[in-house]
Amino acid sequence: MKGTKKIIALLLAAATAFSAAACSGGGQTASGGAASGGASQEGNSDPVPIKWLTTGDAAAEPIESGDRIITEINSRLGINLEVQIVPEGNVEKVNVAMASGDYPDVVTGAYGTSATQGWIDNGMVVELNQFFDANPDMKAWIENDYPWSGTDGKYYGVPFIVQYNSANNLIIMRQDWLDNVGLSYPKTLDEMRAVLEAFTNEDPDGNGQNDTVGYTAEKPSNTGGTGFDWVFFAYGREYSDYALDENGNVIPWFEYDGFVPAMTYIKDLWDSGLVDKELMLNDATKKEEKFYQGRVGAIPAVLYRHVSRQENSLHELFPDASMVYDLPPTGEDGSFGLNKQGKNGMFTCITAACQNQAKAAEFINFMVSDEGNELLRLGLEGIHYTKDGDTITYNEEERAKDAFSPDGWAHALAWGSFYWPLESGYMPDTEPNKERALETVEMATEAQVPNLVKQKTPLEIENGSSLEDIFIQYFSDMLQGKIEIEAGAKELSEKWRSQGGEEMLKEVQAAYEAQGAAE
Amino acid sequence: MTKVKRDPRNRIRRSFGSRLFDGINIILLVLLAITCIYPFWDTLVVSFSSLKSYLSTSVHLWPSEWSFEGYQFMISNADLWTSYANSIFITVVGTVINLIVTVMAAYVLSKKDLKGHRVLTFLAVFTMMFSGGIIPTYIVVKDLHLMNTLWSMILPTAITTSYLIIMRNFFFDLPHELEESAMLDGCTEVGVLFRIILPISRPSMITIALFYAVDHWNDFFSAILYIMDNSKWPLQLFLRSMLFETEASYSSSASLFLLGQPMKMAAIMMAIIPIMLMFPFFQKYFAKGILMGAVKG
Repeated sequence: MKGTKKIIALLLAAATAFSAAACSGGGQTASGGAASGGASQEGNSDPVPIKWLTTGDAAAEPIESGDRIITEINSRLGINLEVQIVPEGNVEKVNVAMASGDYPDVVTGAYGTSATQGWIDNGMVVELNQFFDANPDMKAWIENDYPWSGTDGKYYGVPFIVQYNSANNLIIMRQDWLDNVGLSYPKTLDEMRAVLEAFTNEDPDGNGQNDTVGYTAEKPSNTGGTGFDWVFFAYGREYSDYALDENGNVIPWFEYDGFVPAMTYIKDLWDSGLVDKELMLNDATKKEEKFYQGRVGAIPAVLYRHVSRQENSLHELFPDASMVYDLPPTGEDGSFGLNKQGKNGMFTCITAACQNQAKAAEFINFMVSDEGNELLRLGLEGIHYTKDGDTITYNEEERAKDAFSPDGWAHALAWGSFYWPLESGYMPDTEPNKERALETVEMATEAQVPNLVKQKTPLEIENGSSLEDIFIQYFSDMLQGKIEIEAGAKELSEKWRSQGGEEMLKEVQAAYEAQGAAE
Repeated sequence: MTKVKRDPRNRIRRSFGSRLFDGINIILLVLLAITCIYPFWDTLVVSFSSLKSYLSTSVHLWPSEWSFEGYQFMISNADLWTSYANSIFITVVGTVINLIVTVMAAYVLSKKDLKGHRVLTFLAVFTMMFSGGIIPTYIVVKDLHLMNTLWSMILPTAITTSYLIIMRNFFFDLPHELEESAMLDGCTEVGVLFRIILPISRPSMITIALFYAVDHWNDFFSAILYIMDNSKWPLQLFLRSMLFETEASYSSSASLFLLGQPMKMAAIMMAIIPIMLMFPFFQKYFAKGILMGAVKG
């Protein structure tokens, strides 16, 4: 009897211990299970199930069952669409699902990452060229806007690069402060310095206290830039990602001629106390708050549909304050810039496991077509809106029953995977400040600087971020005087190149030459 | 009642150095307490402040202008209560399961006369050092058909190995004579566990339960991975998504677009208050429980 109990105890312990082991990580690997499809189910009138896993638009309204837009898509394409939108746009979920063999039919992940590159390398997604003839909108999307995104003419996904041909950042300033110090929005770097000096030293808010400073930005980071990119662009930085030497070879952007003078200008602003000393701690919220609190006179800020938010937030404490924005200041040769052209975005693919790849391609084609855009942005005519000539009247009551955002904004599927409103130049007529918002996009796009090489290379995907960290560290040290600028620039180049940069440059050089040949 | 007057001459004279040491200690501990309490206080104050009040100062000791808009906005959303219910279910049911499984496994592993108990303990400890990671766990959840169910947030974490080891060590230290005497009185082994061992293990069990409950309450990454259906989101994911949605709201005319930081703080308070309320009830067991079983291995 005692022996039996021992055996039971042993089994129980084994079961629980192994369950602990299994739960905190077993040794099972993802099964492939990728059946190659491709054949369309011709003659079969049953709707084809299409499961789409996407990060989508985390700000959108949730899609309820019976959503009439999804029903309409199903009806037009003969599919049964199941959309899985990952909470918070978390790409990791998409990557984990794919790596685990939990394949959808259509998948949207982050473009220019090792995960999506892995999908291509491991044959988890199919080549799209085979579907081009039947799907002209998808073909045009890829070949017109992203011809460089393929490998040897083969395209494995539909890219959507964020802020590729548009931008929304400008330097905003307190117009009332400018009026108080008798200056106007600066056109040149010299004027910019004069304005920041006046904002810092001439009591622009007239409260009799020395409690204002000229400029602040977000802390330098490998994603947000230095906060002073406008200075580098004004000193002749031609591209956002790299630079070319006199022989036409690709070099790191900070090896261009204007780097040291630009750093000297920035350091002068810093040493003169014209820049917020807490800049190194600022996130986007803190930066904006300092502007709203009347502590700082100028910040680089996101505008477009945020233009009203910026102004209204400023008016919370200063109802009479006014805000102004314009193109960033120019250098001696007239160069200027503020926004970098995007290199990251989304990537929509058809998985190898998809049973009806032709239908999946048809679905993607629909999503990038004018027909699809009209359905997702406006809805169904007579139900979600009515049209009288060019005038569109939204039926908010009906739109609220489906996943449309309020005030004339689009359906939940409209944004995130193939478009954002900014990139589409979209804004419904119902927006009170539509004209001004679109004006800011126009200006910000004018201040956008293109990339030398459009595509991210594999080593750039792998090491780009850590190499950018090296630059950010040296930039911060030079700014704060921990290292002298010329010596710092030299040391930065050496370290950047020795820690993987040199190897990456070779790859980028090849991509640059291939891009040139293609153009 | 006679009042005893203390003779000051009988008091132990403390040196200046000793008093200075105490003084510095008190100052440091008060500063430490402030650094711990102020972030909570700041969050609470900002959550009840208007945006104007929030922006008007960097140090928030009291709302200069009260506002309940953040809370109103959160409470007005019916999905909030669904997500509260989900979180409570995950926390309560999850913790009960955690306790049952952990106690049973720990008790068995604490048996010195059990053949192979060292190997079994090693297998459990091994998972602390070498975890399979996200993808194997995802596959397990998928293959068990737990995707998009609340069980996906409960069963894969039914045992946390570190808590298992704490419990096992606690049982290990209990006098063996207790069990022997119970057995002599005719108690079965299961009876010993439930009638003798568990009643005297209350501090440890409550401490472990609190750890598990906090883990369940704060877990949102599992929900991102496994739960697609909005109606099954736990509170943490719901609040984060709600903030994200409001911040990125398309309509610039929406007043919530301007609530900013006060609304974020209101969301944080709503997320942390329920779990914080548990601490005072369990505090008396907490210090005792965390020390038990932690000394000997």
